[in-house]
Amino acid sequence: MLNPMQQASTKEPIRVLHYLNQFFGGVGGEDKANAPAEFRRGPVGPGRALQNALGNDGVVAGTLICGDNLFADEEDRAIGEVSAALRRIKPDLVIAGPAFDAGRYGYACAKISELARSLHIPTVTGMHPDNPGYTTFARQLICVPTGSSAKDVQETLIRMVPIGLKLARGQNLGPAAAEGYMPTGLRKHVRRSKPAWERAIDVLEARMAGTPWASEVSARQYRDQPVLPKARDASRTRLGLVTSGGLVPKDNPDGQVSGYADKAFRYSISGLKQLSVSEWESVHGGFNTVFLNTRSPNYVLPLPALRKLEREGRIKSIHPEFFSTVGNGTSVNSARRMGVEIAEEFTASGVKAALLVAT
Amino acid sequence: MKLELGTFPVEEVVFARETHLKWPRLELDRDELSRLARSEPGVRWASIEIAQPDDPLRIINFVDLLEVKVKVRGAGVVYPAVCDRPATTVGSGATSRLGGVAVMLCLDTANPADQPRNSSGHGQPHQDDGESKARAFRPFLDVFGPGKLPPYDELSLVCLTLQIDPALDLENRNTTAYSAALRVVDRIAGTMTALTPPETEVFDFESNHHSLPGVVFIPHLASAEWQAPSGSRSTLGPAVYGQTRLSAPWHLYPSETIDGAIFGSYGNGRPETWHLSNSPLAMELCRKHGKTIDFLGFIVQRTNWTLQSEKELMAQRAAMLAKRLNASGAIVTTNYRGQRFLETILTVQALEQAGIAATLLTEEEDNEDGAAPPLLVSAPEMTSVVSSGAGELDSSFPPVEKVIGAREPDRRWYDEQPPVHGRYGVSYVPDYYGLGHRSLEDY
Repeated sequence: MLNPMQQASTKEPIRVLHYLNQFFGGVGGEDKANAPAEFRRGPVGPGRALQNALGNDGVVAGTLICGDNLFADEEDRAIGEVSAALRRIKPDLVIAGPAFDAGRYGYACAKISELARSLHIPTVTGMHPDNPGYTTFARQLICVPTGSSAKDVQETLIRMVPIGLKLARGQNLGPAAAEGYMPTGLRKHVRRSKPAWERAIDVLEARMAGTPWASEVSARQYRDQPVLPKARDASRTRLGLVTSGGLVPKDNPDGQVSGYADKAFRYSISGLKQLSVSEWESVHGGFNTVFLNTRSPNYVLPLPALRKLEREGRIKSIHPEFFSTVGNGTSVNSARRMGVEIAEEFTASGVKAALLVAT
Repeated sequence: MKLELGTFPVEEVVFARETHLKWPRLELDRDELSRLARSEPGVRWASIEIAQPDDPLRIINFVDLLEVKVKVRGAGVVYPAVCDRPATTVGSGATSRLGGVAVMLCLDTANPADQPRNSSGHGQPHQDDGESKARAFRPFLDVFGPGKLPPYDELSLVCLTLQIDPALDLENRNTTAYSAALRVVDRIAGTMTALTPPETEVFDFESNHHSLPGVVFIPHLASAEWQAPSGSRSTLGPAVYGQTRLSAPWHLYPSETIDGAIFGSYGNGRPETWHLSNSPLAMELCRKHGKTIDFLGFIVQRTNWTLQSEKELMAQRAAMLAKRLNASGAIVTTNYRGQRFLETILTVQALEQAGIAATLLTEEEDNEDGAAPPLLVSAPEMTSVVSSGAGELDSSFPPVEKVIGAREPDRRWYDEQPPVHGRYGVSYVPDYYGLGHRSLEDY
């Protein structure tokens, strides 16, 4: 049920701003990829198909055209120009693209979506699932899937419009599969009509019979963290130590937890050659700590080996404090925050390389 | 193997002067059953309570759920090879069971600090701040209101709460508790032996149905061998014919599992015996056997191997066994997070690479509002995954007048309990075997 305000808004045509690159905007090919942002009243090129898809529900108030290189090479300038256009035109909805598999165009559509969102203007775009614009910014996008071919532009716009109208009218979108947009990464709790065991049998039987089935969970990986180049010269590098092995001073003075940790504590190892069971223990709840706590805590912080490297001059020095947390049931957000905090402290202390003992 | 499974669907469970099945009514002599449990050496205190669906009560400290069943013809005893019971192979002959009733085993440790460190319990029901709430979470079960979830929405629970001699070590406490529970189960099950069950199903796994697509069910069961004080001799966690150790995959006839060849649980709030001896999934596969599929049985895969090479080896062995059995499809489940899940995915990969369609039935991790992937590990071979949610329950749990599972329950257990977010292993009624309707969907 819509509220009265929203019902009223459904009677008025939605004002739509269409974003196109220089090619779809008719400015030119790759030779015009540096074209600046340009606003034209009414629909341009595929915008006419967009207007047809909108019918009486909306009007393409204008078209913003940018060269593909603008966002890639001069992002600040591009953001400034597009932001000014959005504030001037005040559209109810932005339709960006579709960009198909064009990387720079996809990137621009994603940045425009982000920009419009910051101004509370809903945006719908369309891309190939492998377009970096989608894979990089999925969380911020409402993006319909496309193929690689620009000949599908009309059909794609027809799929984009109902989603855009819903958003412009303040309605909540349903699940990605039902609405026809690609997953944003957000998953919401639902109650399905059949119990999971029954659905599992249904899916398996469909697979074995060669009939269509749908997976309820699509493969999604953790965010990649680019690997930094190797430390150039370890003998001139101060090394920081981090462990997720739950290592704490005896009797756990800070009350570190055995699981679901959201804090990393720092402890001094200044002057220590090794860790002893009389002074250190592990409170980790996810592995058998008997060896650590009765024989050698150095298993999760190999101090003797590192001191040897230090003595031999193969590393310049070991930072006098190490960080310790418990890697057991910790949320991704907590881990990310702790990582940033540790990195900031290390950076401020001149630590150029770190050893993380993962458990 | 051929098993005749007789069922007495019980409609009412009441306390009476005698333990007796006046079908469809089950009468229980509360004192007799309590005495029976207390007669197990090491049991200090025992109580019997009945919890029916929609009763306004809360159960705490529950560790396992046992179906009431008895072998009435053929070799062996139900729940074989545990607690000094015979290890004779089961799955043939005739077994009788009570439908709609189960024995819930609760362990009142009295002193929360007495719990093992790796238990999910850390003392009090809830603390006030966010993250510590997750850490302090202790499992509970409401059999009414929003917390009434499968299978507890259709089961009358005979709750056996025990206090065990705290001088006993973890292994002996576990064995003592289960031995006492089996005394109660056997006593109640004994009421069926002289009666003819009103419902009977025959599961015949002797004849071949090779013209039909072959299916295996592959539950992954964590082994406590790496962690338990008794190592490979540990009784902690689900056992196959009493064995909890890390071992190569077990092949079991479905009828063996119906007779309770898989027994035990991994502890507080994670019952599994009922789920694996009465799994709706496995029972449905049994019923489809010879009609639309050739149900080739369970392949029980133990998890918690140390080395990656060991994990990969076991995944390969399970896939090879499935292939040798002529499977073209598999349903795969897991019962613990972390490296156990990784091992489960390795099995899925090995099955798919062997040409066997593998459907994974699993709970998800906390999505953290889109910050984290739904699963710890994803592989390209995971093309058919069914989600049983994240153990979440968005509603709060109303106050209760009665709490079962402790001699003197902490007063706070009677209060309203906050919603359970389902994040990172802190879940309400974990659903590894897909009994419920909870799930998640992409937005």
